Amino acid sequence: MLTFDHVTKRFGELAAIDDVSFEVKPGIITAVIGPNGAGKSTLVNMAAGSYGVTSGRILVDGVELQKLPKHRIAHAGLSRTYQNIRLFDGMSVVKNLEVALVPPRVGSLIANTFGLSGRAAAEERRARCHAVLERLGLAAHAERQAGSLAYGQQKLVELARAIVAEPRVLLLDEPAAGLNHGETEQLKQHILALRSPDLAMVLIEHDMKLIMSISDIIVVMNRGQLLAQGTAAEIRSNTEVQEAYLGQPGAIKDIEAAARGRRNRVRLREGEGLTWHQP
Amino acid sequence: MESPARAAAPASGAAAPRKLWPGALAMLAVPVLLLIFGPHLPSYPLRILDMILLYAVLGLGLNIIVGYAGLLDLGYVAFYAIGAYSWALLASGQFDIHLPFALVLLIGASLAGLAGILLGIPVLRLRGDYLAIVTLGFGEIIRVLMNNLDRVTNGPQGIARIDEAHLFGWTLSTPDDFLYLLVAMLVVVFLFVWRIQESALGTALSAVREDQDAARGCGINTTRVKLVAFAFSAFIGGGCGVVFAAMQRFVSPESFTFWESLVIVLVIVVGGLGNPFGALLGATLLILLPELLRAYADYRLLFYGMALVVIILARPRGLISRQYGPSWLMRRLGGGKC
Amino acid sequence: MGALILQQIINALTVGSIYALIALGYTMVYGVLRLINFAHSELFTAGAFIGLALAGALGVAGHPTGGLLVGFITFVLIGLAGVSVEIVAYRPLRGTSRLAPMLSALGMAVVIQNAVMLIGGRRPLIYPSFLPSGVIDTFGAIITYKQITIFLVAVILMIGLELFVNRTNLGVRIRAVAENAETASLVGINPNMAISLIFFIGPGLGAVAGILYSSFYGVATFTMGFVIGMKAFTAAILGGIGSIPGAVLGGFLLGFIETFATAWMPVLTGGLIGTEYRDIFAFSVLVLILLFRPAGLLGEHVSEETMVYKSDF
Repeated sequence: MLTFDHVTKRFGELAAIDDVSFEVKPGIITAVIGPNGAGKSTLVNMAAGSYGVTSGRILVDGVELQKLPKHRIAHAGLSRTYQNIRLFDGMSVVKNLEVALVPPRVGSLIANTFGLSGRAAAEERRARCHAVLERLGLAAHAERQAGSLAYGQQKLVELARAIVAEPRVLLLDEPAAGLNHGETEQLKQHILALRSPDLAMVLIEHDMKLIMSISDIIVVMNRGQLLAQGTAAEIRSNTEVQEAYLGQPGAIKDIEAAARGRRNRVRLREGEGLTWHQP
Repeated sequence: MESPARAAAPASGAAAPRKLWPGALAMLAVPVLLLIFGPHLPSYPLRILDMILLYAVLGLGLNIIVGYAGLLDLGYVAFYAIGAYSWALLASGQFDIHLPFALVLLIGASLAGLAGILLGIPVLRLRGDYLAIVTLGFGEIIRVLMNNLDRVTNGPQGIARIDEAHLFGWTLSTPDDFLYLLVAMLVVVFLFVWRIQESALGTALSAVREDQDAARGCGINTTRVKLVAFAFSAFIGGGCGVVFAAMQRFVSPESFTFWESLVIVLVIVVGGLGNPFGALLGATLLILLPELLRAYADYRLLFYGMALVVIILARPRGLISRQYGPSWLMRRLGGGKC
Repeated sequence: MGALILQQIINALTVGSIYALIALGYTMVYGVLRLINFAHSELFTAGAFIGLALAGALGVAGHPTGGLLVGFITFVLIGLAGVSVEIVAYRPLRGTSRLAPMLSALGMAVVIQNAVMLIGGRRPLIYPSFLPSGVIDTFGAIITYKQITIFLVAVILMIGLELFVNRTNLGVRIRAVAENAETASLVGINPNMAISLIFFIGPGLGAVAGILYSSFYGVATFTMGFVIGMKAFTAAILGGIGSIPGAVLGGFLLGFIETFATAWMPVLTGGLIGTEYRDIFAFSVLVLILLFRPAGLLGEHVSEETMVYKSDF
């Protein structure tokens, strides 16, 4: 379980996240939506340790992440993918996954290097990586250089790297961005297949169709604050959300700005809420 | 001597070669040929061969930090100097201390490793670039110390009449004695760096090189991992220094200028960053060419500088690129997937 | 005692001016490209040598007004050399690994230093002073006109740079590229133009520093850039790398630390640490600043996106 407990993040005077609290439960997919600048990415970056937290707590199963250095956050059971792919381009696909399984203790790394221990463990790690690649349909590319794969495959490798260590919390930062329709559909199936009682999944996405079709809970952010949360149906019919998106001139401007920034088209369809379409 | 093959095989997992002996044999051929034919060489080429081997070992050591972790160390010669002065001070009339060679080899290498850790602590938690400037400064400081701690190091005159080295009852005095020692060192260090490359430590270092932030996101304590690599690298440099001092039986600050560090960097850049074979090839070229082109000695450094720029621009992977390392050779000759 | 301290303050300001001028080149390049321009220190040396050659060619050795002309021409020549170095050795490597441009920069440094050596010779050359001679005796401290001139020239150049960067159109473009090259190119700023400008100004200032330095000490050697460059880079880190005021502050601060440490350490340690350890003080400053304040004194943000990882040990 991932918990945001009265989390605030300020960049100078600006509050990018303003006293946000919510829980992400295991076994389901929780989507975080909102126009650009709503603070979704900031939230992810804080949880993953890339940004410091100004005040409040972020917890994974009771462990306070904001006190940990970044690599320990991974050990605490949180892993993520990136909005812009960040693979280890020069390494093979399977090595990319092995990075996430490197033993945390430096002592054991050294012992391992001298061949004193850990051979069986190394074998097992490799086997785990191959199993995950198999599961995501990447087995054929295991020995290829990660940087040489097609964009969609790289996105999948990133997903594989994020899940190979069997995290308790998985943050997916725009996994469908830049994917075509077929790839998005494939990704959707993989994400759905990942659902397990031990894994809390957070999905940040602009593809509203994808969100509406796979999210169990949707959290709506606007201007650094939590606007609403509920099931897809609840969010669609939530008057406050509609107000925020439709009623307030400011919010509309935000959406328009977001749309321009992403070179997306914004369309409003009756009954479906808001959709962002990737060109 | 089939241990090298076995040592590396398990980590290679799925891509392991079917047969280990062809690759192992091919790689063993080099040291074996050196040991058979080397001692028959006349003194002058033999000395050059010794220097090639020494620089190859230095290159292998520096490769851990530059080639694997992608961090620039411009003061590698400082660790070399620490090793050399260890032997010069602990086995000479300077303080009338005469410790055995094997012990000083361990002391010199360990002191260098320790210096690496102490130097690494303030720098390695930062982004990579600072290491270059700090190691550059460190190399300079060690030289200033050697020059000015007259009572200890004898200043610019250096320390002469260093003891003859004895290793397990065997006297090391002629170039061919050192050939045996250097070949042994080369084999050990080669296997060690290969092992690093194939182990989890190597995976972690590669991740640091490719994208440090993402590596941290994957749970790698990048600072610690870099520190371990830096210490290993320094340790090997120190060991080479001890051997160098025992070979020359004379040390002075002049042997440890920035240009030595530059040559070692060039050895691995020319040969191929992150490839143990590259260090061998690079050392051969960089020691041999200046000997052949003695008439143009004044232009040597100019040529080195140009070589560095041209190689980085035109062939940034060096002559033998990273992926064609020992594991590749094992697979290639052993019939595994490449 | 008072006179001694006053004398040291004056000496510190002199050497600090030179460090600051060189540090500006390092900090501007690092601010935009995140590259340690190792060639910078060698362009400093080359500047001093070109100044010497020009003095001979124009027959103005020893004339302060001739010095102005020499300084100007050298600025332009070394500035153009800096631009060429960037185009040849750094630009093709932009966006590759961080290691490759550093190695290329190192190679360029070696090339320039050895070119200077092959043309100018290995031996130290006697340097004609372009600075006015004469002294002022104040409260027992001796201030030479040379020192005053060095300080004034440095300050004028720094003010000029500050005005250029903050008040002119071109300067604003440079700052925009330094902030974020991608965004800058979106609003129509050509990053290459801004980068070339930086590689013109930085080495140009360094070259002037080279002339001032050699005029002050009366000697030029082809190796002199090495240690000075390292110190100037330390000054840039000390002030906060990427920050122009930081480089100035760092340069003067390092001048003070070094002058006072060199003067007082032998006294404080009973002669154990002598003046020959001068270079060690700058290095100690570098290590201490990296330990305790890696973003430097005027560096703005310490975060993962800049330099440092917290709490790793």
